[in-house]
Order: sequence, then C-alpha cells, then structure tokens
Amino acid sequence: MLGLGRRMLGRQEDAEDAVQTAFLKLYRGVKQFQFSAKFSTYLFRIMMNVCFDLMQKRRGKKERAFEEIEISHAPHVDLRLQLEEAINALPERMRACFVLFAVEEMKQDEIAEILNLSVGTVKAQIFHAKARLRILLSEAPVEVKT
Amino acid sequence: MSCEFYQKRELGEMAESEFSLHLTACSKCQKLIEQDARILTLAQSLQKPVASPLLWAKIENALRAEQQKNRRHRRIYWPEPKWTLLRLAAVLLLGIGLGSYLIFKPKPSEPRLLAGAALQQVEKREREYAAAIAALERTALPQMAKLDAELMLLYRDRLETIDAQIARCQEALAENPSNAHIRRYLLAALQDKKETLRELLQLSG
Repeated sequence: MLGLGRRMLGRQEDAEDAVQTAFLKLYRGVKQFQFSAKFSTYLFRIMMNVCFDLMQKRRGKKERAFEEIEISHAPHVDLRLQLEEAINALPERMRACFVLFAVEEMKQDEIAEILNLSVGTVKAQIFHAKARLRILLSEAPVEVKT
Repeated sequence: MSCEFYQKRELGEMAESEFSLHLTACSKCQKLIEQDARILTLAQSLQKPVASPLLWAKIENALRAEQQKNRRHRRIYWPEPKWTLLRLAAVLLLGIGLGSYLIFKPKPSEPRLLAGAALQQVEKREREYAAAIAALERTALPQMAKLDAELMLLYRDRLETIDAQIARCQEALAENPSNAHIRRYLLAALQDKKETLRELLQLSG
C-alpha cells in the first residue's frame, strides 16, 4: 500500500498520510465490506480512492512535487530512475493501472475492480502505458539485465 | 513500430494461441514482446519504499482516537423520570464497582514504554545483533563479488533497504529510546540483516 501511495503521490510523507487515512476509512466502513470481494482488493480500492482525493486536492492547489529520488552511479539504477520518472509522468488513471499491474503484480480483473473500470479499459490503459514507457527504454543507452 | 496483431492481443481481442503462431513469423511483435518483458522486469525491480518506524504507531493512535470519539458520541438515554430512583441506584452501584476496581486493580505495565530492566535487555540484544552483523559483514561483503551481477545487485539493494530502515529506527530512538514499537522494528531489521548476510555467505561459499 505504501508503495502504491508513493508511486501515485510521489512523496513519502503524502504516501504515509494516505496509508493512515486509508486505515481510518477502513475502520469506519469495515461493516460495508462484502465478503464476495477479496479483502486486499477492498483495501487497495480504499487506498486508491484516498490517493485520487489527494491528487484532486493537489490539482486545486496547482501543486505537483515529486520527491527527488536518490541517484546511484550504477547504470541500471539510472534506468530505474528514468522508469520512475516516466511512470510519474503518466496520466493518473494510466499510472494507477500500470503500477497495480507491473509493480504490485495484480491481475487485470482485480485492477478493474479496484479502479471501478471495465477489464477492457484496464487492458487499454496498460497497453498505452507500455507504449509510452517503451519509447523511453528504446532511447535508453544501457542494456538492462535485472 | 507497431503491429495490429500485437495490439489485438494486448487488448484481449486475439487468442493467445493464434498470437503465438503469428509471433514466430513477426519480428516486430518479437521485439515488442521483448521490450514489454524488459519494462515489466524493470518495474518489478523498482525499490519498495520503507515505512517510517513511526507510521504504525501513528495509525494505531489515529484509530484509538477514532474509537474514543465514537464512544463520546454514544449517548445514554434514560427512560422516564419515574425511574429516577433506579437511576440513582444504578449510578451508586457503578460508583462502588468502579471505586473497588480502582483500589484493587493490579498495577498495569505500560506496554508501549520499556521499563529500565527490559530496556537494558533489549539494548543487550541489539548489541549482540550488531556484533554478529559486523562479523558476518567482514566475511560476507568481500565474497559478494563472487556472485553473478544480477544476484549481487539484488543483495546490494536489499542490504541498502535494510540499512535505511535501521538508520530511521536509530534516528527515532535517539528521540524516544523507550518506545517499544520502534525497538521491535529495529530488532526485526537487525535480524533481517543478519539473515541476509548469512544467506549471502552461503551463496558465495
């Protein structure tokens, strides 16, 4: 959850605040949990809504500050850094789909449930995200072997 | 560079078996699949953020505050005024019960703060871990070079993450040395580091 928050909101403090808010919301609304869904999906859905709320507030303030990520000298880390930046630059919903799919390793139907989208939309969002990131990686000078 | 077959497959409009057949003959799709695999591998290797040691304590406090707020809002409705005598009796009983509980209750131990003796014991355990880690580091770190590059990077990342976690705990403990939560967190991190170094030693040996 913290990883998702960090990648959606960009700052560690914001991500931790989002996790705290998500747990409070979970506490307040746990009675609404329907046992037909997976609990982790329910929790991620709350977390995702908190992130979207925070991003909306931030948009109101015209604030968008992603933390500087520590740069290591190893070339593979530079590529990771570039990927982090490219993910941050994706539109919000596309970023959410990609992060849940590629970083959190969730299935597309789970993502659809978390984001309240159709599976087809999720597939399309991931497809477009990969297309954008592919441009970045094809321009990258170093071969990745991680 | 794009191929409509690739797009169809990605959007779920084409069966995987059909695409596999096409893939053997299409260099464009082969390249795209290869690049996708690179992106996913790289995305999965992105560093996981480390929670600050106070995060769980903060969440616990927020939940406790919420619980108390809920209790305050819960009102007691008394029935009719004719029940006044009964009300007085109930209050009296409650008073007596509460009074005897307060007089005879066992002294509670504060779970979140470590008392002197416990603190010394925990500090002793931390020193033991630190010594074991130092000894393991002397042997394991020079051996790291023997590992293949991928494994070496993985272990280096893991050790860096654990070190960051340890540093955060130590920073927090400098301000609040009796916080049992952070102590527990630090011990877990030290144990994790010890295990990681031991694992590293086994792999390189």
